[in-house]
Amino acid sequence: MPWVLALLVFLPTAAFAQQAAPRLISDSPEYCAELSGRFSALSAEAPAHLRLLADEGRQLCAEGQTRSGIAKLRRALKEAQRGE
Amino acid sequence: MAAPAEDRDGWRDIRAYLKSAGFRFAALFAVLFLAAILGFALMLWWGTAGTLSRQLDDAIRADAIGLQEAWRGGGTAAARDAIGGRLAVDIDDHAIYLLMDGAGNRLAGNLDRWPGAAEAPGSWSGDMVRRDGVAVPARVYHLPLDQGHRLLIGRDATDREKLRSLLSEALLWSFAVAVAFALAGAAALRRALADRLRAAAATAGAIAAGDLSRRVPLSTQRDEFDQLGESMNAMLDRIDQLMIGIKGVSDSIAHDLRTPIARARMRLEHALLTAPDEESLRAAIETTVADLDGISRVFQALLRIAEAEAGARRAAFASFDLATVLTDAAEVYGALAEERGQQLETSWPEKLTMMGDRDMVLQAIANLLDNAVKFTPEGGTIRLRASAPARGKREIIVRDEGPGLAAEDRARAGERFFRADPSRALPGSGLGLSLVKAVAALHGGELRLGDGQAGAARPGLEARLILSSRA
Repeated sequence: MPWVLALLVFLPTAAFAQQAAPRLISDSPEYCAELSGRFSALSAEAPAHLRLLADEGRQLCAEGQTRSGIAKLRRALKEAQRGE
Repeated sequence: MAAPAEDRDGWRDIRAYLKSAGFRFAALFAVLFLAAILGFALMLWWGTAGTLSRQLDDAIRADAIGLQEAWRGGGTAAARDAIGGRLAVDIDDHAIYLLMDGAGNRLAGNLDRWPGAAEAPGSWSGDMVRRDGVAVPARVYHLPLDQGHRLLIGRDATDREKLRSLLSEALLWSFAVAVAFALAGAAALRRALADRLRAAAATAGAIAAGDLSRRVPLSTQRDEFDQLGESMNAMLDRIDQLMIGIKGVSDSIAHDLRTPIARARMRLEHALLTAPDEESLRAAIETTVADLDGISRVFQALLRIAEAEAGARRAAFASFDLATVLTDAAEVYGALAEERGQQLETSWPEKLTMMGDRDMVLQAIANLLDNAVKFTPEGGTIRLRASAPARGKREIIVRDEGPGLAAEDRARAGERFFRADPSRALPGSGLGLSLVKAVAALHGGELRLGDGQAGAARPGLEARLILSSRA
């Protein structure tokens, strides 16, 4: 019986802790748009393969695959900055 | 009602087992083994999970320094740009930033609000953040800025926590296996110790039961247990020799004292039956008293030998001048030698200090001189010399011009009641050299007997008494 009581106390506490934890917002469509804007500012000098990579990222964001899209946009941005 | 008694016996057995040397050695082995494993585990943890934690903190610290520089250089705008730039190229998606002003407004970063655990300025904390609705561990640092602004810099610590978890599990299993090995090793060690000691214990038990012929069996390993067994066997041989010696002494006492006691009895009986007058009776009693004094002296000598051999007098050791003792002995025996037409030549340094029992040493010198006077013919010379041949050694040499001792007799000369054939006709008890030998042993030395003049018709006897001058 004590373990049932412990479970009853622990589970809501754990659930509350999860709800109360701050949330990362760098995986939202808005952030996707922010990264797209940053790349557009560099795209004039960026090589074609990086522009293609950024386009793929934008496409994925538009399709709702935000994290994958953000990852591609970040890679394109990093490569573009390295090439500057 | 039998159960409590059985419980008590069982508990007693357990306590005896826990107190046994085998168990204690085995427990020590197990503790050392587990301590070594624990040390290894701590080093492994420090080298892997610890390194990862330190690298994580170093990255956060370097990031904090960079952002602080940006803040000092361009204020809020520069800090916002720097944070945005860093997040834009964070391919691993591990970075966490949050810049807030004094009023609590969020200015930049990728966290929706300030975590509760990082309230204290300058604090490091491990907190949980939600990513896609799932709580993940994070390591964050609170950097206070000017005008009430504050910056949170952190990293997703999921990889570190996964490694920690894996490592903890592996180490826990390793420790469980190590405990099993330690217990098995300890049990094997205890059994090995018990096996090696069993033979010695069985021998000791048999000897305690009266079988003095038993000896500890030795293995071919020549290890510490064999050395212990050899020491025990040597001790048992010595005890055996002493027992034989005691038996010999008992036989000798019975044999040597029976004759004078029987003679005294016969004299008294004869006087009682045939003495014509009181004067004859008195003369017989006086002779018998003298005989009984002789017997008493023998017992006194035996007691002194036993006392010297037991080492009981060592507690009474004191510093004394051997030269003075030699002078006293030479004075008495010089006069005796002169009466018998002999000469006593002496030679020793002015001072010969040593630690020991003065009376015992005097008695030993007197016994040697007594023998020399007894065996040296009229006109002969007795030499008494003493010196310090080495540091901590004193040597006393008595040389006579008597018939000497055959080599086989010299080997037995220290035995109680032993008398060589040529001396049987002379008065004596056969205890003089036994006492000298015992006094030498008491003073950490020895008695060496040799020819006074090797090859001569009457080689004489040279008795060399070597003593340690330190207690």
